[in-house]
Amino acid sequence: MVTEYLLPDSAEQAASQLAGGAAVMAGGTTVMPAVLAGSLDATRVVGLARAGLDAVERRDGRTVIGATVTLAEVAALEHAPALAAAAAGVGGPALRNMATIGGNLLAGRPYGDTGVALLAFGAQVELGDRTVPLDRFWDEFRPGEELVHAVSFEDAAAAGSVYVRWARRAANSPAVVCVAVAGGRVAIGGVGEHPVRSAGAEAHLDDPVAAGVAAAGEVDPPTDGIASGWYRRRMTEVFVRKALEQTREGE
Amino acid sequence: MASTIVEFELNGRVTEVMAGPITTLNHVLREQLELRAVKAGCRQGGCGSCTVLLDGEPVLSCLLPVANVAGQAVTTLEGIGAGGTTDLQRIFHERFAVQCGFCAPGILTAATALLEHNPSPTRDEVAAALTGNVCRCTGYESIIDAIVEAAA
Repeated sequence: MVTEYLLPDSAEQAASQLAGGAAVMAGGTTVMPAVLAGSLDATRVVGLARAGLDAVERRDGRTVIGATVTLAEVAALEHAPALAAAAAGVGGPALRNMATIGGNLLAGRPYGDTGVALLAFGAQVELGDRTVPLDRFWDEFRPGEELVHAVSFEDAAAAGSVYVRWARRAANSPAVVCVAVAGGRVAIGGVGEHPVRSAGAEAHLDDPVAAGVAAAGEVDPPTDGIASGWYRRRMTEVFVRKALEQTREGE
Repeated sequence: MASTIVEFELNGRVTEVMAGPITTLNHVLREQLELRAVKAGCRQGGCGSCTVLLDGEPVLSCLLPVANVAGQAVTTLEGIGAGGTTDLQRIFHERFAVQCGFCAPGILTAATALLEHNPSPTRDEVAAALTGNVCRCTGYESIIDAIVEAAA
């Protein structure tokens, strides 16, 4: 049972409150269901709603998005179309007004669509004392010991990006697979524990059919309540192809 | 357990409640204040039956610690319909837009926010605004019809 809920007014104060095993909450859309189900391990929850991590900054051709920026705000970032589309595909309007990009990055399979677009952008994750490239973030991040402050990417990397998503319902439903293409980088979500780049697709950018086949051949997707591994692999092939067809149409 | 006092504006009036550390707004509304338009449905953020407006924007009260709303303005359906039935509610009633009614408060709240921002939505815009509200009974068409009619 949660006996302490803290709302620190800075990232530094929040970091100091992690000691002794606290759960961190941004928008609450991941942590609160666990609290309500009684499945949260921690007795202390640190809420980031007032920690000052909610700014979007655009400076010197780079965009920096604070960890607690909501998915509704991210969905409005027209200069990063794959990221905006990824955020817009999560849940419904009320959920997007609460869920955050930092929380989405750490939500875990089958969630975390914004991480797919960010991976295709070659994004960085700012952790306060250091910056980690996103492709290493999921292996290196230490939950409960450190905090995501922001994600950042070069605007040029995000320009003209494409995102496609396949889910079992048209909306308000976790993705079976999702694919982002940006500047020759292809990222896929739903096929592993976290979003991954697809070397196979990137080797066949001019041949969407071959790219789809190559991408599907590289993945060993999980089976869960959303979809079987077989179906995810089949949809990887289809949606990598569709994402690259859309990219070529846009060029 | 250390309860705290949270002060916020509720349906236009300043309100104080005492609540446990992570007690949700939904629990406070339903169990402490007996404002039961909001429902406790899925308790996961997927059904929308708990929808309220926070500073005019729809949020899911079941996932929102009441401590977070200190100093903000919460609006429930009781506040939206205060002083009588809104046109939206009247048209829902006349057109038999809902059946069991469980989804209705969440949908009416979401639709109210939509019409505040977009007084003449297309059918697709209405559907998009309701993507977070699940209805088991109607298949949604009667609901969308009613909202489009109310906006006209």
